[in-house]
Amino acid sequence: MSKKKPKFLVETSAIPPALKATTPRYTAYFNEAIADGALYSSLYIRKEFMRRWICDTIRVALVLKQCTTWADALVILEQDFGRKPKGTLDVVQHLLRQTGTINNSEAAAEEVGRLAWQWLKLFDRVFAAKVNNLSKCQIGGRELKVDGNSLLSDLYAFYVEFQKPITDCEVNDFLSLAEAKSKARGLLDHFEAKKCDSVENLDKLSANGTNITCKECGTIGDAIVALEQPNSWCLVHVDKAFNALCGALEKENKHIKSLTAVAKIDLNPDSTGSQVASGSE
Amino acid sequence: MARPRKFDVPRGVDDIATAPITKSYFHEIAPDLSAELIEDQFEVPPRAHPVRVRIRSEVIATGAKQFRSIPYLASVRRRNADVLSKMVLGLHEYADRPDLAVYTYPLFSKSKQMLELLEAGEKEGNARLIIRMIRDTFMNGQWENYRRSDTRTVVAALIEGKLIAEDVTIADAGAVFDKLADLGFNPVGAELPAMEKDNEQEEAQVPC
Repeated sequence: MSKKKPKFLVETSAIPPALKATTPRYTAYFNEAIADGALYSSLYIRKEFMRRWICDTIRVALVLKQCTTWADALVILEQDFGRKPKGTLDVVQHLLRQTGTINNSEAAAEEVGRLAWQWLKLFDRVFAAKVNNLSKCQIGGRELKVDGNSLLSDLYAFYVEFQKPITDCEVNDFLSLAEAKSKARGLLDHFEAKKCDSVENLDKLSANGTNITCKECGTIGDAIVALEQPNSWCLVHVDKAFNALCGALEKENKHIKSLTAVAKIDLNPDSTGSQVASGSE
Repeated sequence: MARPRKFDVPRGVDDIATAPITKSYFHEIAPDLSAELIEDQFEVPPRAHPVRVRIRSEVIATGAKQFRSIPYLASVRRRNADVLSKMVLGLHEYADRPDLAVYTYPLFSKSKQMLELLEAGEKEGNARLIIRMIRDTFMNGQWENYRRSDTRTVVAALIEGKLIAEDVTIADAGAVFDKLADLGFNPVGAELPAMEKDNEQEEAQVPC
């Protein structure tokens, strides 16, 4: 009788290697770490993917469209974004150089804009299977409807709509912070988990009795992902906060190395591959 | 006394001294949008009274416009797609060579040229999406897939089927994305940056 494939819920930080949209070395490392397991996502993780990658990319494309050159756009984007999307800006710059569009902002904006459409398409292709949407996220399932003939206008419309917070989200019921025995409350009381930023933020929201909209939800994403994880699935993550979160919820997790760490492995052939969080396997 | 030279003066006008002078210039923009200069000079004879000189300059863009028209750009796309499709099939001659990358260079250049030609086409956006995906298959080592005959056949058929059509739709672009992914290509062509956390410290990551 054939052995059942292990089921992996891929957390937001582990998406690039899961999509094979990173360096071949890192992709190979990821494939080895998950062996022949089946990959799953959730609507909530899809929401985080859209917030972090798709919206950032759309923003870069639209600023680029309104600037004469990439150099002008880069100054504005670095001022607006701060350090956060440095990776996105580097990838865009590399792409524009490679495709010879760096001095033509019209073509460059389209070159970048199409990445948003293609990345989301790739995500939906790789993660056709999703776990139940327990948090009832209302924006994670949104479609990016574009037409190549009106690409930037369509991306703009998507971005604007995506930024509008849902004010009556059922995530408040899912968390049940008022109930002493709720799992979310358990995270707040756990010695290790409560040190994580997402749990700290959750604690503040709970203390203030804040109605959680998409704006607040963006600050407690890790906690929601961990709470949504089904018991029989293993969470694959790069972000080390999940070691504590999964530990607190007694759920299986696999902490894989970051891109930088994997690059270091190659310099040190004695290093081993992925490290599995204690008690997870 | 020498009679002043007549210049665009209507015949039969009694008072030659007050008749207006009209001069017309036509600038016809060539399809290649090259700059041209029209230079002229004329003398206005001495008059007892002021005379009105009317200069009329007209830019004629009809000729240039037709080279940016929707039907014309569609025909440029179809013609070039036909060439590109044949170039893909032609790769079979080099499929076993270790330097295959060199022979995919003209296909990469052709795709880039097509993008430049169609850049102004307001109805060529979906075609450009497809051409970019095809172009990306000749980048970053992905050309290795062209060693396989099924890859060459499928990509050539995609180019013919989707880019030689009358209208190219977003559904066509989506179908090309799926087919290329089925063939083992990464149709996005750019690496997804590693995640950078908003407010949480974790081990340093560098972009892909």
